[in-house]
Amino acid sequence: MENETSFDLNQQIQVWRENLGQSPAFCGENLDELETHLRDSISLLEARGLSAEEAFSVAARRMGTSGSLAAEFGKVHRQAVWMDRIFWMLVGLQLWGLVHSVFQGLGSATSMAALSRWGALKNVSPEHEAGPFPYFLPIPVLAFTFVQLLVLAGSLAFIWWLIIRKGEFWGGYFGRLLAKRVHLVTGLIFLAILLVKSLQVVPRLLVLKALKVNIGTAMTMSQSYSEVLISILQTAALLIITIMLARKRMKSQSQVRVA
Amino acid sequence: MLSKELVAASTVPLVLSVLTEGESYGYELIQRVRELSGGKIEWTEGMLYPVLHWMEREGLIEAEWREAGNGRKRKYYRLQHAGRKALAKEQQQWLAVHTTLTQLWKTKPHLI
Repeated sequence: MENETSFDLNQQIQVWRENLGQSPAFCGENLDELETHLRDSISLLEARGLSAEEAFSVAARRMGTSGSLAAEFGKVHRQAVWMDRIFWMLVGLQLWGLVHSVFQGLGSATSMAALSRWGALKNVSPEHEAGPFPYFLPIPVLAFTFVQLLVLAGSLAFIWWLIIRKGEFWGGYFGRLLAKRVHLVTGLIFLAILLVKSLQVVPRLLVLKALKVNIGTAMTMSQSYSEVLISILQTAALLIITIMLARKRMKSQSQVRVA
Repeated sequence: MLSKELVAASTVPLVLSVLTEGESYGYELIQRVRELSGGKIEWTEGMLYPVLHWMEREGLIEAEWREAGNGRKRKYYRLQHAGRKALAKEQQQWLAVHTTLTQLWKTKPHLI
């Protein structure tokens, strides 16, 4: 019975500690110090006759919410807090790139297929494309613009849902995963982004090829290829920064466990 | 209870003064100050630890992780030379305020 309660207490403390550890304001050492403090506080309450469970909840409440503790600690650990913000901004930026690419790939492929089915692409010539805005906007241009707007709106809505509605859940999950195996996770993200970036352009190339569309195809194609190359470079650069920040974050949170 | 401003101003001199009695750790510092003030000064962990870390960084105090009697590891804080100097300065200033106020309140007790 007693073993059961003491096991429970340790688990509760671990959960409490992990909850605090979500904030960049604390480094591992701070968490150790606060944990010892909590344990001291619990011991004293237990000595006064409280059960382990009561003692834990009273002691934890006295320490304050993780938010208020983090706010106070954050004042002295500003650099860590900012590094963490930049890290999550970069993660968000890449997530945005990923989501937008998927939507764009789908959008441009379907719109091309649809337009070609209606024969709208056949009449397009380079002069049309370069027609003075807005008098001679050919239908394909309008259609593509419309699709791009839809793509933008769709990906914005999706990102909104992902970050605002589910941000806490995914953020916590991603943070824990990253803390455990940073290389694997970032490697997978890199592969995913590469895959998606190519998904964004490859369907367009395939459709162009299949249709044998005669609108400066070579140019459009090389443009598409260069797009892929640039986005790979951009992704790699962003990922390197992200990995560096993630490792820094990990270092500050890796903990010398208190016995 | 002290006002927020007074807590902010008095924490450093209080910590330094308690540490003149010997090294101590966060939990004990809070207890000691509560006891000495008759419960009027109630520090929170969220306030104290960041101040301790700042003082450590400024070289006023020095910290060391050590195992306590019960096998629990604790971070002990110890006064440094710079801390003693800072305390001497603080003491002058607080005494200046204290003596001025006491004199004023002695001659005009009805003010209070």
